[in-house]
Amino acid sequence: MTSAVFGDFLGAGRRHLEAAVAAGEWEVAALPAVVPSVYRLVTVMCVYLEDLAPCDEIEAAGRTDLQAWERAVVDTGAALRIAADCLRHSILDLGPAGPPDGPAPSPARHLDAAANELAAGRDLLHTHITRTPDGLAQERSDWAPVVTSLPVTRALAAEIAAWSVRLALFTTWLAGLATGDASSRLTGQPVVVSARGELASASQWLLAASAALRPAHDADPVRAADADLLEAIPAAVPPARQPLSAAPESIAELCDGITVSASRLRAAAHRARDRARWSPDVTSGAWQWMAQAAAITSHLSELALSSLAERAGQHPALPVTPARLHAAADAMTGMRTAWQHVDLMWNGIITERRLLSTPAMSEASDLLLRMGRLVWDNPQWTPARAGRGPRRDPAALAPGPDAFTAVLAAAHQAADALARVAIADTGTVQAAARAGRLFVPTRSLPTGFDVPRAYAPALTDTVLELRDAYQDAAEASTRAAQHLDELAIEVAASSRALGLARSAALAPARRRGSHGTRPQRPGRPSHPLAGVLFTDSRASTGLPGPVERAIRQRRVRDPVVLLRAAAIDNAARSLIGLADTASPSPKPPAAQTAGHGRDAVLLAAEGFPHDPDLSRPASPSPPGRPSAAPPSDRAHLRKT
Amino acid sequence: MNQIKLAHQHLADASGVPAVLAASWELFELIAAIASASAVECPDMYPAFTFASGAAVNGRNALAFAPSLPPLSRGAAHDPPKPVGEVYQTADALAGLASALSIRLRETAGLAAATADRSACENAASDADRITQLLAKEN
Repeated sequence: MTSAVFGDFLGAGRRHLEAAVAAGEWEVAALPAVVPSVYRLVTVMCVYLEDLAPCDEIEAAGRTDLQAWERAVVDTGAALRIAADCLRHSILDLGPAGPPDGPAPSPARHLDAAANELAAGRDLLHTHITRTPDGLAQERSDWAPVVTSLPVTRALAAEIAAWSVRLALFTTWLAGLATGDASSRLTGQPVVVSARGELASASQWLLAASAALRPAHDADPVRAADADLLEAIPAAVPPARQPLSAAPESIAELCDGITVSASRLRAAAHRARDRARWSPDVTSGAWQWMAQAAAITSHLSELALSSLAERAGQHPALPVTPARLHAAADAMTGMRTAWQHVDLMWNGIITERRLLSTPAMSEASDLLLRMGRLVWDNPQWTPARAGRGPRRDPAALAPGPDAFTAVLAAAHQAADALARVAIADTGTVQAAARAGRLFVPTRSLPTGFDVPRAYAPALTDTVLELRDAYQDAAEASTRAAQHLDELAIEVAASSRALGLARSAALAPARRRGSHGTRPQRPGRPSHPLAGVLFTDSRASTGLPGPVERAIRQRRVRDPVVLLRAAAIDNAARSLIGLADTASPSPKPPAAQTAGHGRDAVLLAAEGFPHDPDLSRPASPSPPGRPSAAPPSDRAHLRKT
Repeated sequence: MNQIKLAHQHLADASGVPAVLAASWELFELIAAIASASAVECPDMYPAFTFASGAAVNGRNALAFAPSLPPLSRGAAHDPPKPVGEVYQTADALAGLASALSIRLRETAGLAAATADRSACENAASDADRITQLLAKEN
């Protein structure tokens, strides 16, 4: 059984969302129980956008180097946070749900379940990346660069935007159910709000969140492959080992087993790479065994691909030409030759210990045995001469398109896993060389070296030759995997995500804490501004702040510009709140504090219009800009 | 094949722990070289020869930990032998040589006074057994 993938959670979440918004008959009285569930879901969506953003709104406003999607996720996140604020206000106004004398209303249950699935999906993505105490990202698997790639950013942002639109329509409907009476629940604040108005406003901001992605979508559209890749992201926890069965395994079972072993081998190689700085638990014997296993597995894959090529010649309905399969088999030959060279290098090099087995060896062993049993017609095949068997007939190996695709995917999995091993071993072997752990037989040294022992420290030339051999193996293995990437994508093999992932990892998107960005501020809440206390802010009152008011006075109706203005207001107040908390000086009188706050916000408002969008005339939206109606001017808000 | 016969003889003639260790070292190197060279000759024997070569290198490396291993002469290891004859015959010959090597190393382990010599011989004998297991027609 393979690991859970992101698509499992996303699919379940989508089904719950659809069930929630396809509202059946339910009591208006259930509104106080449903709105908190909408809020909770929007909060989870906000957190996703926080993850995707390269910086916060304030930093984004001053940056000119952000790509279309980088800016779009900042804007969408800002709109979602405002929507969440509006929902929070409406919850306050609606008051608590009735006593829990029965099950929660169906929409609430579905929305809660959707939020849970979405949160679980985020947890899955976060298994690939951990944060250091100072907020920097640390990769925990080979999928980490994929999780932070541009294609995954596009797909995730588009997915959240689609959820926003669904929730916007639902929230509009909720607003219609809510009473229009003003509330007095927020006494002591400059305004009071109505649940109806807040829900209507939340709906508008949810639409604005989706609209904020359009400029990026126009510049760099989301591809179908982006969504495929997103859904295929597995958890960083490898699947359970599938021991070889005593009973014969079918072609399909062998191919599934190869996928599991390859996945476990990748995980083991990544762990070994993490430990490269202290690799004394890896020995020359283990490195050489791995090189031999890689050479043999490459050889077996080469034979499997040759059989597929022969089969493709016999069966014209199969989707790949024999020539392309032969080219892939040739790439496997190159991979085998490169690994053989690594193997031969180890004949003359030893570490201070001989052979300790490693977890990667167990996985590579399973992989090799299953690949052998796929190619040779002996269910008990082993590498030993006594365990041989006749070559499996191509028609028996791939009787139809499904088996053909499965065998192709198996060879693809093997090549990809071994390419990762080569990269990991290049690093660990170099660490061993730096630690002075590599020795050579004295007899292999040039004349003139007089060492009274069987082994002497390896010469620099030998170490460099070994490094080059590993780099060649890594390049040859990656080349072979790339050949199969293309074929797997074309035939929609189960391994196609490997190819999509390899290509996505080459297109990184900046995130907080990744290279070239600033870590997330420690004091920043990981949820919307709920709970941050300000005396006069949208977060507490829902009123437009000074920047947003200044923009509105210029009759700008572009929701992207408006939401950025609102986000800046909120962020400025958040910053002032943090500064107040951190300030060691005695607190000034309350009136003076409020004055400081206003000054700082005004300062931010004056300094803000660096953004090119705001320097343009406020008239009609340019082509391709969002067409969604901007949030209203909050006519429903009444001063107390 | 002559090289393998000569190696058998060399091992049989060795007397005393240091001489057996030195002869065994040479034999492991010979097996590694022949197995490597034979691997590409026949697809169905490629895995067996490749792993046999690795086991031979491991066996040789085990002997390096024996304090009684005498200084080794230079040169012979730089001339890998070419595979001669049919691969299955080569496999039979190497399996036979590895079997003899294992027996001799276990005998020597029983004679060695130093613990490190004993354990080096036993480890190397296990690697020789592995070569036999990989290359013999029947297990």
